[in-house]
Amino acid sequence: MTNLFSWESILAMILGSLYGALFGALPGLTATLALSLFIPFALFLDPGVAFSAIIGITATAIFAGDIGAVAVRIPGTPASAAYTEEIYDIGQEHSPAYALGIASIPSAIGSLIGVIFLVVGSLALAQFAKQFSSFEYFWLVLLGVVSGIFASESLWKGTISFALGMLFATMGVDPALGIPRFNFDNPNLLGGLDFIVALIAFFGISEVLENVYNGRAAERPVGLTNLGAGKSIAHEYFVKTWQLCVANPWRLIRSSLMGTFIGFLPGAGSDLAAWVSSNFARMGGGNKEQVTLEGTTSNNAAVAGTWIPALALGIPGDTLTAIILGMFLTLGITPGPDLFTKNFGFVMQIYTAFFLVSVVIMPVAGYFSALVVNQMMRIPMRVLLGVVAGLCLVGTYAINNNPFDLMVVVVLGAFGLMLRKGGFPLGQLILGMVLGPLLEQYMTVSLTKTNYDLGAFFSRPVAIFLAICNILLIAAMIYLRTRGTKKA
Amino acid sequence: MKETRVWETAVLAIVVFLSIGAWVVSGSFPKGDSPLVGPAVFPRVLGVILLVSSIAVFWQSRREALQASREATPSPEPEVRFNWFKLLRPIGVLVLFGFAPLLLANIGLLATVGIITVCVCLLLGAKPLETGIASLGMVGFVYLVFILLLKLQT
Repeated sequence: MTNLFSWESILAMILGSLYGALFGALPGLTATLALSLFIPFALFLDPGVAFSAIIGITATAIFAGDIGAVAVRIPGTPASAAYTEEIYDIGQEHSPAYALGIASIPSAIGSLIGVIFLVVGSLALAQFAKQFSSFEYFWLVLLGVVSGIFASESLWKGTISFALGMLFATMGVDPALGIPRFNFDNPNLLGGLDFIVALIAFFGISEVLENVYNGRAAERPVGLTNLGAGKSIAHEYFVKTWQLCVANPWRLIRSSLMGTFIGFLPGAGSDLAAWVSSNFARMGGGNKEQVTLEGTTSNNAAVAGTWIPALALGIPGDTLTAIILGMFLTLGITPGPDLFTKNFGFVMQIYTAFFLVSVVIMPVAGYFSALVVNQMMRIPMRVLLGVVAGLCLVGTYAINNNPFDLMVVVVLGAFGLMLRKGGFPLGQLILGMVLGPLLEQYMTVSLTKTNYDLGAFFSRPVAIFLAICNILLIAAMIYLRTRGTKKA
Repeated sequence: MKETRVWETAVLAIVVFLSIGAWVVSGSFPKGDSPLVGPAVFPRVLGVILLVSSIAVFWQSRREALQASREATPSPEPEVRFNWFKLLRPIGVLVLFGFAPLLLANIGLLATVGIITVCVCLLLGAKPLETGIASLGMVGFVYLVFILLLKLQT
């Protein structure tokens, strides 16, 4: 595996950051799409290089979502929606460079604090999880499923998306007994539905189709002009933002902690972290800078937080980590406690990549990527969508060199468009595809080894605790939703 | 009918078909030692969940529509009616992708990527110069990265 400090890894991290920044900044192109299109390419790379780029993409795409918000008051990613009004106003009242600085430097601080918790949290959790058996894992995966479903806007639609993802994942071979199913005597389906092909279909092709359907291809390109508003861009971006950070240390710490914790919860992710933290700032009477600072710190801290259960338990915190876990499994790396004993060097590389991205890439490359992306935002949407379609084609073909995958992409892409337009969340579908086989495997193994005794699921203390967590989560979420409906 | 409801109904019809299909096809799988395990159990459970959730979404959506028509208050969201013509361009993109395996077999990856990028750009209303630059850029990128660097077989 290539060393993280090799020139390939550093270059991958910088290019990954620029690529992530471009996708994050352009409204309509998301971090999920950026990652989905990159995965087929990453499969050809050394895992060390691939994961350096992936960490660069995921970290900067969330920060870059603010570029679209500063330029045209349209957040590039849902994680920036929580403070779009405030950051746009800062850009207008002060300077776009200052607004972008607030998007970048507190993000880097949030990310750095998140990384500290990632290291401590994942090491501790992995150590604790060594005692887990299939019963504990069953309840943990179920916790991921339950929180994922409740994280969706509509409970029933979230359930449908999750169950569809799980059903798609049943194609191929039964994970516990190895019996073939749902392959319809087609040799191309013997290994099941390829996760990455499905990813490109649901997040790549359906994204292109939705933009085409909504007429976004006709949108005029917009870029920022007069970045520094007559003052030095570097001063506005670095010095003024740093002064704001120094004046608000408590807000930085609070939102970083909150973001990391929310990111850690399965199904929550950066979007929720940004909303909760910026609302906290609003309720506390914070001004526009403080609201933005808390939102942007929190959503980047959450990125590191989502990696804690993903690395230590193999359970994704959000759609992005679900994709990354799919990539882990494709490369033959099994996340969970064993990863920390068998591949500790690789885990250390991930930690270091996160650290480098937080300390160096995000503030410095963030500055340059804001300038580069600002130029690229002038590329018309009709051309960008054509290029994304071309990338989807080559990405799909590159995975298995199999034209059949292109037919799968057409069918799933069309279905993805229908799901998007019908209000069915696609993130839950992908989470279902990752968690479904795990749930089935742990359930079947647990039942088989106890001679089909359902009571055995409640026989170990940690399993009982996790079962109670599931029940409490369901009860709390139903209560909150019912209260919300009554208030409305 | 409102646009979202048309899409929603179409998805629900597919979901119901898939759930019944999962139940029926699972019937031919080998049975396990207990009714609790075996290759058919999980798909059948998912089939039931999908069916119940589809009925719930349909019922909820219908109730909301009835309530809205009874109260006759203006909806905060403007009522967008379904426009079938808007589907032509997405269908065009899908048809192009459908032809890709045929193109790949006859003219290879580079030419296929170029043609698909040109066609999608033109379908989206891009100007000829923009289209040319985008497709040449894509072909160059695929050649450099996927063929030269990553040694992808074409």
